[in-house]
Amino acid sequence: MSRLVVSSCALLLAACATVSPMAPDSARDMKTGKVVVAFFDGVEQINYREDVYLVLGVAQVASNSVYGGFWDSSKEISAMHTSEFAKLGVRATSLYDIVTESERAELATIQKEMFSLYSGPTKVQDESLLKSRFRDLLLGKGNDYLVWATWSGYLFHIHTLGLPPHEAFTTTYWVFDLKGNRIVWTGSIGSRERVEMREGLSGKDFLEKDNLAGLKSRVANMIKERYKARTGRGIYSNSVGQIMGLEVKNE
Amino acid sequence: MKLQAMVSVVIAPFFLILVSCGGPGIGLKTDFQQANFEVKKSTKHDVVRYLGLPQKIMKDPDGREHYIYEGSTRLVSACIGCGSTNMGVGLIPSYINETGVRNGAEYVFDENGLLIAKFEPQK
Repeated sequence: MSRLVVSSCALLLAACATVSPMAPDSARDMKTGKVVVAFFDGVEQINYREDVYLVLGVAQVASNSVYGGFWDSSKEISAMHTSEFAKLGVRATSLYDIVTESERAELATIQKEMFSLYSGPTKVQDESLLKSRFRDLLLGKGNDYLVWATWSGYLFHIHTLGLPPHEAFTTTYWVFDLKGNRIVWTGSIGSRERVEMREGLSGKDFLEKDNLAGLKSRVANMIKERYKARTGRGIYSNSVGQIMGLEVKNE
Repeated sequence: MKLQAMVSVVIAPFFLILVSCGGPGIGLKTDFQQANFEVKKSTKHDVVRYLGLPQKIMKDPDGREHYIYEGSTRLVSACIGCGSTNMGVGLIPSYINETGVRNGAEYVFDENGLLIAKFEPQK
């Protein structure tokens, strides 16, 4: 019995392991250098889940909605992250504001490949993830760091028994030192929020009506919230800046 | 009378819970024929305005876009005797299943976004 308790505690402790912030030198250099922020949406769809109450249990059904071609999500979400990094004192520029149309098309192919390398069976997470053409192009434009980010896709989860829906996604970041050709920080940061939705509205109506107005505003709100430190249900949650080491942590 | 009141107190919350369970949910629209999309007249935006975004978009070698709509949601889990479960965020969820394709619809658009073919389930 005691062995069972000890092993369960060990498992719980292992699960609580936190991501270390970047080295203070890197954080300082990053704040003085020129930083490019690039978000790449390799998912381009809303993932819906709905719990169905069956009296004796719960079933879960799913659907999805492809928004590729209807929303320039990579560009718009990059702008959201860029604005948040600027608030942290980083001289950040969105990738999509410094490249030409032809460079953008070329980089879309490269980032698609990077997304596949990371999310596919190889799970590449080291320096080799950044393709040399991408690095050379940014160095050529006088940049020092690249924050490359992607996500798991937006999940909208409708619960049963009158509970409010939840939305969630996980963003994975890589901070590349372009001149040193090394990663100074990488990590995944989850976002989860409760959604207050008008009664009688379906998930699709809430998110997709008026050219995806609901989805765009929910994503913007979630990104903004994740860059703030906060306390919910007595649990303190560090901001993106604190997790990365760009802001002082409140232990 | 006392027993009747007690039974009411116990049963009423169950009814309340059951009533509150039936929300609009995901809101997948499957009344494909009712929209009366017309080939050579309706556009991509007409289809999306009525049905919402498709579950899959494919481009064929001739540049035509195929919008695929599922006929129903997919059952991803069923759990008897358990409470509400929270699934993790899947990186890339699975595609349409066979049933979805059979009961769903497909709309084909030309490079200008005009509907040039439609495949809807039989009434």
